[in-house]
Amino acid sequence: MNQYILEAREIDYCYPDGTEALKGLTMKIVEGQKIAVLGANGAGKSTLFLHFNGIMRPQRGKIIFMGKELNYRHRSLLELRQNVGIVFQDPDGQLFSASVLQDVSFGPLNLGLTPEEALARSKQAMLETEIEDLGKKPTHFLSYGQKKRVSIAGVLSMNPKVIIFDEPTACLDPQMTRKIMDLLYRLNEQGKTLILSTHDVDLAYSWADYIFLLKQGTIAGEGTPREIFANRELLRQCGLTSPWVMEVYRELVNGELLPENVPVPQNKEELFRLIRGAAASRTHFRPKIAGHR
Amino acid sequence: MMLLIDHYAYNNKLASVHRGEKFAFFALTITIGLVLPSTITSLAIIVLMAGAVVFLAGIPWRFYLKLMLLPGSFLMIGVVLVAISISREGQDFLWAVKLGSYVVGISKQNLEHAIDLFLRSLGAVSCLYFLSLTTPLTDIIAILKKLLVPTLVLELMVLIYRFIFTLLEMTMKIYTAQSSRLGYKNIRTSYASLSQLVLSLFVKSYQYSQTMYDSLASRCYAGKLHFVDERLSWSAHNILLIIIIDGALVVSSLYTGGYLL
Ligand SMILES: Nc1ncnc2c1ncn2[C@@H]1O[C@H](COP(=O)(O)OP(=O)(O)O)[C@@H](O)[C@H]1O
Ligand SMILES: [Mg+2]
Repeated sequence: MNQYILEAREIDYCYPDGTEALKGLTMKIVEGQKIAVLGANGAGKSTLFLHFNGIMRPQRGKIIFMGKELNYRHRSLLELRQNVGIVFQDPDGQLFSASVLQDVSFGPLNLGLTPEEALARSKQAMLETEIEDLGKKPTHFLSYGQKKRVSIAGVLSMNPKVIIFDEPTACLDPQMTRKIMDLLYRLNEQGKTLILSTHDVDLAYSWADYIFLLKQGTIAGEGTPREIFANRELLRQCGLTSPWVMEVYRELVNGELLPENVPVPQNKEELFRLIRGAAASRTHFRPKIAGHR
Repeated sequence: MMLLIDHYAYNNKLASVHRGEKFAFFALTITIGLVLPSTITSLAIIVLMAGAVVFLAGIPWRFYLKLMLLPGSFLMIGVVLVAISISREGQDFLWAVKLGSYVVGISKQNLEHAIDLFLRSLGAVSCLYFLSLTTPLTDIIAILKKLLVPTLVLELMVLIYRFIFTLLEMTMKIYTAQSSRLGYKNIRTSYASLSQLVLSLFVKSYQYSQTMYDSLASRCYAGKLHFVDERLSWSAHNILLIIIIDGALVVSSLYTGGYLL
């Protein structure tokens, strides 16, 4: 049995106007992981995601879901789309219904569930995204953050194995970003495989189990967050910077405020713990330092 | 205006009332108003609906008055034309002027006719306002579905409804972007800006429909939109009220059987 739930093998995609958006791209997604796809604007993230859902068909290469190659026939597409959901970047383009409940229940009804079942699933999804009070609201009266959560609920209600989020936190305020990220953690704990695209290095660094670096339609690098962000030259080539946690850590090590052998902190909390630890051990030396002056 | 109507449809004191009750009230009352010819009935309907909208649903009366004035002014013009008649010999005109060999004036019969027409139309309009101010489109669609209106029509209604607002929003955004860079400074730039606005609306709508189709496809769209509805409970009290009110309307119009004048 294959451990990869979703794979793109050497896919090429060229837009009708001649833009080569994907060039021989290979990406293998391990089931149950939190994957971040990092890349500058125009790197091809959205294009790749549309391939993972069978909406675009590569000119060369193939998409493989649970070991089976996608053949773009109706049944095969349906199976893929049932199991791989996409939350699009622009929630306005995704919401088409007159009311929130209508939109959230769209997917499950397409799966052929009975109205009662579809309603129950939609309610559950709306509960998880904290929009249970919005059911009857028309989509044009929602705030951006609410629309975003409705579009997530619309995918959750189909209960897919893999959920793809195209820049889920772009244009959101910090609190809403926090909420969405919390939701993503919870979904992953439920066993869902999550793929998220972003150019927010801090977010990718602290959230992801595994990172793919995308550059002009190819994979420029892949690995765990620590591996990826250790290579500053590669990041620079991809138009990205180091996460601030890592920058601060490096600065502290360079300034000999932290010993060199401590592991790189993965998030803000770990970094702060390191700093507090270092500060506590320093207090012992303080008389000595004072004596130097 | 349209946005406000829609806003009130979702936020009024009757929003939680069963949509079927509201629709029944609307349908019965408008039928009575159109079928049974009585000026008193029409007047009663106008007052009744105004009361229902302002007091029961809690819509500000100023807003409702403004809404009523819109068709009201159109109706006025039409009705004046009905009321006035031209003839060679002086009939029993209530008021007339002589123009050469013709007499232009208002006869009693025509006046009655015009008033009846005016009130009846206004009555029907107020019934429609009652429905659109208290019942969201989604509910109306649910009812129409129960009444076996073809799904294609309903799907179109949903999409058009959504797109109206999207288009409005897009227009607003482009317009703001243009005016903030002095696009509407004078007539010449206004024409140029307007043509660009229309053009980019076309292009954007096209792109928009494309992304929307992608998102539909990604959720297993198979050429059919489904409509779910939640069960609501009927209230015997409201139904009784509707029967009594509409019964009274029928009786009164049959009893008076005719005209106010
Ligand atoms: N509809 C389109 N037609 C032509 N080129 C496009 C279209 N959509 C995207 N592209 C191009 O494809 C490349 C990848 O775009 P995209 O996948 O949207 O990148 P990302 O999501 O990483 O920002 C870009 O160079 C972009 O200009
Ligand atoms: Mg994109």
